[in-house]
Amino acid sequence: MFALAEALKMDLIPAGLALFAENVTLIGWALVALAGGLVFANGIILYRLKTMGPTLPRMGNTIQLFTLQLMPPALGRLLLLAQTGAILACVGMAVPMLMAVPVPAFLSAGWIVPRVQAIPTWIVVAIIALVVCKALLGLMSVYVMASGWVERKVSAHMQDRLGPMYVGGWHGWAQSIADGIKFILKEDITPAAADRFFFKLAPYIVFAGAFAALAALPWTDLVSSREIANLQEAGKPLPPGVIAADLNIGILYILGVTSLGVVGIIMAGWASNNKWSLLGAMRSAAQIVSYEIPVATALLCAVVMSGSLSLVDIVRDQGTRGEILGWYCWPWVNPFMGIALLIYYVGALAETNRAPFDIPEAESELVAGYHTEYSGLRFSFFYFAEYVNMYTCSVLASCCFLGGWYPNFGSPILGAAVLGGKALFLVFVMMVLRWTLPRVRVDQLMYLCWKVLLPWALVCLVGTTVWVVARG
Amino acid sequence: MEILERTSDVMVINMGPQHPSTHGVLRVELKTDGEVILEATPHLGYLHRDFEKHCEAVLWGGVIPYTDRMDYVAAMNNNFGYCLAVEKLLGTEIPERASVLRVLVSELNRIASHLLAFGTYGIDIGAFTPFLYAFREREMILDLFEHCCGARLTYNYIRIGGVSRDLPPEFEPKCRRLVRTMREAIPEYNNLLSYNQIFVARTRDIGVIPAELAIAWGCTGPVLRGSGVKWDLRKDEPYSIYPELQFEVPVGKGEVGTVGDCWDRYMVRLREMEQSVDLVEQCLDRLKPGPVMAKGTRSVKPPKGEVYHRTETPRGELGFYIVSDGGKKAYRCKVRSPCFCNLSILSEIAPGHLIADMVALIGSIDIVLGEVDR
Amino acid sequence: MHGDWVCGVYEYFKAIFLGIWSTLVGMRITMARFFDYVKDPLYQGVTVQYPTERWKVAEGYRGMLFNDIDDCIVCSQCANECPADCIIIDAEKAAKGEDLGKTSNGTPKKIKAWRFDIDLNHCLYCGLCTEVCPTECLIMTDAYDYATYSRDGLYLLFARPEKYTTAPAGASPAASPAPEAKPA
Repeated sequence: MFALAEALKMDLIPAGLALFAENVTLIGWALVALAGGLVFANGIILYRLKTMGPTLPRMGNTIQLFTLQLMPPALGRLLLLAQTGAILACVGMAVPMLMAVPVPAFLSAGWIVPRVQAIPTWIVVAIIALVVCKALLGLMSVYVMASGWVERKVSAHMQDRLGPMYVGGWHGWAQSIADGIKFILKEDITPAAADRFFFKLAPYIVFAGAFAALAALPWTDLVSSREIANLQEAGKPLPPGVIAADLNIGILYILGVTSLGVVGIIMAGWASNNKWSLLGAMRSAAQIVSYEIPVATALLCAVVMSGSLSLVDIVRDQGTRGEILGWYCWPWVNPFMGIALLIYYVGALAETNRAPFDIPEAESELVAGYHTEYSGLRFSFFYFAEYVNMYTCSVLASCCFLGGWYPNFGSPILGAAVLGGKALFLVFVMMVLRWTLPRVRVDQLMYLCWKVLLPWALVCLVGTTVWVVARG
Repeated sequence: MEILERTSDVMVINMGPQHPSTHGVLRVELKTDGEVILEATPHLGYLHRDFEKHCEAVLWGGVIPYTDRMDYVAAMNNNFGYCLAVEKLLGTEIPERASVLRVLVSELNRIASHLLAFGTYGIDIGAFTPFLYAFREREMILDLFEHCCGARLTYNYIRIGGVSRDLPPEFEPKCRRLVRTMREAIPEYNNLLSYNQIFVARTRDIGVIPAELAIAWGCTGPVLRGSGVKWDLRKDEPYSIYPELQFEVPVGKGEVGTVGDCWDRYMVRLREMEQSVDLVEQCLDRLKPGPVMAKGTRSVKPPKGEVYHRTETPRGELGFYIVSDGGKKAYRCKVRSPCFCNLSILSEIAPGHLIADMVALIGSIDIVLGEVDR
Repeated sequence: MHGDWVCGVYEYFKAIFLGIWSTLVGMRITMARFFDYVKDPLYQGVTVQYPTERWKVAEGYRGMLFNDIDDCIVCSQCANECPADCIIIDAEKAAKGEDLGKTSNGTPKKIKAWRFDIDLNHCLYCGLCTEVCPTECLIMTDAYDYATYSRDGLYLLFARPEKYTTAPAGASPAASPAPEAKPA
């Protein structure tokens, strides 16, 4: 993120990096403090909502609702929930930043013994951090809305329909916005017999788990692969990539926080006090816990190839091998990585609960699975999380197997577009698969995981290791 | 699949009446161990509308709109069955053109009904796209019906003594186009769904109904034929002009699993569609100008007596048992509903399956609750 | 046993191969639809953007009922035929010497209707009433979208007693339960 502020002057980067490393802990704490402030602000809003009497409009004519005096509570509710999301995103991103710094830096950064001259920098960096967090949140919101619309259009055109055509004029482009408004205005129902605390907490956990992964996802690189090769040859440190927190355990962190989602899903299913929800949650637990293993094993192949857990390093390694011909998935780079990509992709489909592995929310079997009882914005959090997870998985696949932002020809913007294009293409394939395939059964899902994907993932891992050792 | 040794408490789940895959307002009370079903009890009656009592209260001809509402996805076949029963009582001779038209629309409706069964079965298994492909073709059939009788779902087209109207001129070219389209579409369905590996895995060896069991429970139609029993009333007890038409009776052969599993029942429907397309074409070729209504059938008074007549609807044997006291209205009318009998086997074959299989099972039996409850 | 093992391995790889292959076959079909959407003339007209576009209703469509009361001879055949009893007629024979006029095909009218109501809430849209109508004044129009905010809106009143001189007791139009609904 520092790079975003100082990117324009390349010679400032090393100095800026040091500054950032010194203060990164402070950024994390600043974000925690900010989250606390937001909690306080939300408390005030909540209090105001409660004093306003019946706050939530029933389902009805949206325009009517807006023109009536229902507007203020609706707006207040929007603020409340959006800010809750912001808090969670801040916390989610602060965690990797807190982890990013080794302990000496943590101490010398001076949050115990503040250095006077550090304070202005602290503020600057905190503001940058906040801007980045909010920007990621905003970017993802736009992405989720757009991909929601795209998925509808894609499915419609695959099925000889037109899809949304009305809202906004041109091909119903504003349908997602209208849906968002609808989600906000809908009554937020908590079933009488539900465990209220966990029922309300669950969507936030799913949401936070999905968003926290974004902190360690790279976006693009500021230098070309040629320059990287030169720097490596000269033994100089490499400039940071454009990434919120370039963790040296990037992949591990992403795998860790994305599996936070399953906690939220189990919580949702259990707290709803609905048998269908419970069945969905149980299925989800079994599914996600199982599929973590082949997914992680497939990703380990890329780690073995590059020798680093950092996504930026993995992508750069591919870039130095060749901007197009050096992608890990090519058989001449490593014959096992293509299979690993397939395994990863199938596993990612299962981990994000996408069809044909959407058994936790199989609508024809379990009504709606773990989110049966959720409505309004709480439901939309699950929806958000699903799409963000899809994106995360696709970016991971692009970075670990498909060359990340290469070929970028040295341009950061082109690199971002290439990476985004690859990721969105993979998201598109996920959509096509969803609207083509039937759903597998629970036992078949487990069979696929333990008897097909995992053995072959292990074969790939061993094969890759042997390949790397043999080729030197 | 054998019932696993129980390790936990029994959970009672109500599947329905508000459930996406019970095809209407069916409630199945499931006793499960986790996801494994131990006991399944269907509860009926949510859509009961007292059809049989209605028959005693309205004129003979006025019953036909009510038969539309029994099996509302194959209304023509219901009209046909009722009218044949009344005509058997009356001894009416039906004009040639009317007979051909009746078989034509019945077979068209059989295609429409099987398309719906195919599409919703896809949804049950989790594939949404085949459903809309099926509806695309079904829409063409409904358009044809709109042309020939003015309604899209509850036709009231086949009447006592013939059919209500003659065909408009645009019917035949549209119908021939439909025949062409269906011949292209069915292989597409097969590629998209029938031979999809996930679909096959979901339906193979699931809900196996052995032939003896199917006969013992009174199953008819594709459920019986899926078990390998070649029993089709159009062949075995032919009525109307069926003896003059050439068609095959497809039966389940256990191509991907055991004979009588869900896939066989599903495939029997797809193959029946192919046969019905042939039948539609044969009927179109046999259409000759002529009257479409027998004389003196506007308001009928069948003689005193009773009659039972059964026909082959898309779901099986639909029988009308009618008692007449010689008046303007029926004295008693009893319907032998195919769906009701087919559904009853559910509690026999469901135990030991998973909940996901239950969905596949209900879908493969292809019930229409309007007919189960009447 | 050895054969079983080989068979199991064969089945294992066959299932993997078929899984991938049938997925590709399915995707070929859906993607062909995705890209051919505009080109394929057969399926171009599948979706109709309903409120702005409307499809042409077939001739003889059985939609909303309409009775041209000026042509009606109030024979009550429709009400007798109706299986749902949704046509309600209150009528009175014309007094001696009273001239009620003629229908458009020249049949003299002999009965005056104080009430000719059709309750579309009960209507089956079977069309039996229109088939027995001797003057063809009761017809089914091609109107199909007439949703209303209350059930009263589907209660059609066709008799216009203001044309006649006297009203019998209990058949006053003012006592009618519903406002006049405009037929299509």
